[in-house]
Amino acid sequence: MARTTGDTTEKKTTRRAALQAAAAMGAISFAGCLGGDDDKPDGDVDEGALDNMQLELSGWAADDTESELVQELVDNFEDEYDAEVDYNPIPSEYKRQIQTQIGAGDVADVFYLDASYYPSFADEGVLLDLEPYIEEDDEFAIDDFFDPLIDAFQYDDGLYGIPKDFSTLALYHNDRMLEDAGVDAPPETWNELRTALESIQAEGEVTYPMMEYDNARIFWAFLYQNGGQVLTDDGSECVIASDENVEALEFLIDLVDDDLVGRPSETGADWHGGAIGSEEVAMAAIGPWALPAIEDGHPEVDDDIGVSHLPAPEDGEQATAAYTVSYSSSVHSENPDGAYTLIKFLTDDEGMASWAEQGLALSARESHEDLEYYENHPRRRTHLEAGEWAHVVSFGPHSQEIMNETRPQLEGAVTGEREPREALESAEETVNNDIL
Amino acid sequence: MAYDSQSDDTEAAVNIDELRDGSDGTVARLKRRVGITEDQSNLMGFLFVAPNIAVFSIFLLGPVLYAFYLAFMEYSILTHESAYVGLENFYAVMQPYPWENGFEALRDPTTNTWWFSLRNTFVYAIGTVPLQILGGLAVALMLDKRVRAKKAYRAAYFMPVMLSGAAAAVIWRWLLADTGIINEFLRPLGLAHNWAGDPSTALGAIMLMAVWGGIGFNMILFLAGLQNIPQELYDAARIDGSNRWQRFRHVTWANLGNTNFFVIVMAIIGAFQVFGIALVFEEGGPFYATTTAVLLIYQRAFEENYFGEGAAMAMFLFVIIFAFSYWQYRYRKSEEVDY
Repeated sequence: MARTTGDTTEKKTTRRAALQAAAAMGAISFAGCLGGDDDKPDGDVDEGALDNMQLELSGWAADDTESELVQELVDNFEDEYDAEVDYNPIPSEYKRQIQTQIGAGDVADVFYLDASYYPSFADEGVLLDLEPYIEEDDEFAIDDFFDPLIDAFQYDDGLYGIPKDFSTLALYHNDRMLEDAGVDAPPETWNELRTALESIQAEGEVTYPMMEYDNARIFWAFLYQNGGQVLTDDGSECVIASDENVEALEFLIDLVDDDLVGRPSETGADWHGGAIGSEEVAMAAIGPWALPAIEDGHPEVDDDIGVSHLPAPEDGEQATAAYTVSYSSSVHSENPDGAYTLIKFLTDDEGMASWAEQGLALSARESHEDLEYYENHPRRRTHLEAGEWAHVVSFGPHSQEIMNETRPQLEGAVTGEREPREALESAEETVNNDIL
Repeated sequence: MAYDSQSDDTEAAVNIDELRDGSDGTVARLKRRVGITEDQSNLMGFLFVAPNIAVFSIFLLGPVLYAFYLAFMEYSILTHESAYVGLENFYAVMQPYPWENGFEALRDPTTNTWWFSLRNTFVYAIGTVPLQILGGLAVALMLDKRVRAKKAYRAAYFMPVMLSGAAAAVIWRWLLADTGIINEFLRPLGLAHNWAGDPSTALGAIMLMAVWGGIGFNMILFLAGLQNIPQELYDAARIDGSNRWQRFRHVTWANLGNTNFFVIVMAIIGAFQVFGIALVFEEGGPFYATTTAVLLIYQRAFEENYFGEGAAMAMFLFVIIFAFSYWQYRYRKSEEVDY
């Protein structure tokens, strides 16, 4: 009996100890996962944290040139600070890999996040709030960033990402074809756009004067130009089927129906840059990422290709769609001060300028409109100017679901399966009932 | 170690006659004498399969069981937080049911995308599996004969299998585009059409691609099956006065039972799991035309972070594939021919 009792006591003790240990471990890991208030950085960069920094930087790399440039920036950072930065780009399936790494608590100190899914990460509380650092830091001119880009990374009074760069949609036009068709100047209004496309069609040099994807990407610019919105200001309701938006979509679908706009499967080109470069179409709405492909891949037509701001409705607003990416850090970072220092280095006046001069994406800093690089590259400057009135394609924490519901409906409208109003109403209903 | 410590030379000296006496307890008695237990005698076997079991458990069984667990949870991969929600994920996936409002969910993708994606997947399976199998068998039968440049033909038919699905999808998208080469042949006949870009034909375009790829794979399996059929059976059938059809029906077909089973099961599983070509071809579009079950699971789980619903859909798909495979297994048993 005595032995049994002793055993039981021992077992009890062990079990209690184990439970206590588990509870402690749970509390620690829970705090680690959520980054409780106590862990919040105060924004003061501790100089000690910058000694012998061991940091990791991750992102995707469009090509070797981009990787080399990042590595160059990282080398400069290492020269300036007492730091070792491991640059590990993720070659494919970026979002899937980065979310798994964050979930596992084993993620790079600084990484890219696309604005289209950034809010869902911020909403889960896994990102480091950079706002306190910026408030404490007089050197970092946050006001210099284009407002729409900062707005895209502002979430619930926190700023969990600094824009790395951005791209805006602009109208690419083949000026030789425009001239042949008797169009004197690039169209500035929707009516002028239609007239220009009709003239090009009548000239008969191309089957389709303009190209657009099945998912009607240009609609994300047209709707804002026409005074519409995707969500209400507080993000609580989807209003994509408003009259303004329906009118914007109808304008595009009419162009498609009249064969003024062709889809990739109709023009035979995979993407807008290819279609413009190979002169299969005379116009397309594209981002600056197309410029290196046109300059290097189609030098024979490069001089003919001009870039203008997207045509807007006669009484509409100047607007375009923008795509942006942040440098963010996670609450799991062992050196948040170091992470902020690296982000600041990559996005400050100098870092941003050298990044933007690669020519693939635009500087997120408004003052860079005066950079010599943009003086010498007027097409990129046109894209950059639009940063002021751009609307980032991102719709809060449910952005991805909203896009996944809306895109097929836009495809339905473009392919003639759905009337524009019916398509947008269907998307609005699903988003309001099932997502928000 | 136990073996060494518990046995001495005298005990270990085995009288070979003891092994041969045929009585049931001999082997067991012998093992006891040399100190080997039943478990230890299997140890070597376990060690041989251990690497496989380990890899299988970590990379397949573990994730499958975890997916089953996730189907009943609301889970975020970003925070690792999860909450038990019972059958809610299954309800969310399945409602509204397909038979409601006159089977509206099967006609309108926005009613319930899951049922519509399953409809696409069934259409794809029904359209591709028989053609892949019959095509593979026909090509195998042709190339099993004395044909000039037989090896070149076999290599040519097998080529699509070696090509990655994504690359094939890109090539086929060009071929089937409005301005593609296929339409250049069809235009004089008045049959030119935007096969890849029209929602009513996009799924058919993917099916064509799958049949093209599947024939070569099945051909190799059928060729292996055909070469295993003893020539004597054909000779005997000829002596019995059988004609060509009878020889095919009663010798070739009857002996291809195992190959058939494997080919059919693999084709059905492959068809229900179609993903890569649908993703590359049009990302599930245009207008949900090529949204297959696995593509939707991928979107729900990995793009939208609804792992619970994605796992519930995956369980649903597993049940369908399992039912088909089991039915095929039972069917084959009843059809099996013994010689």
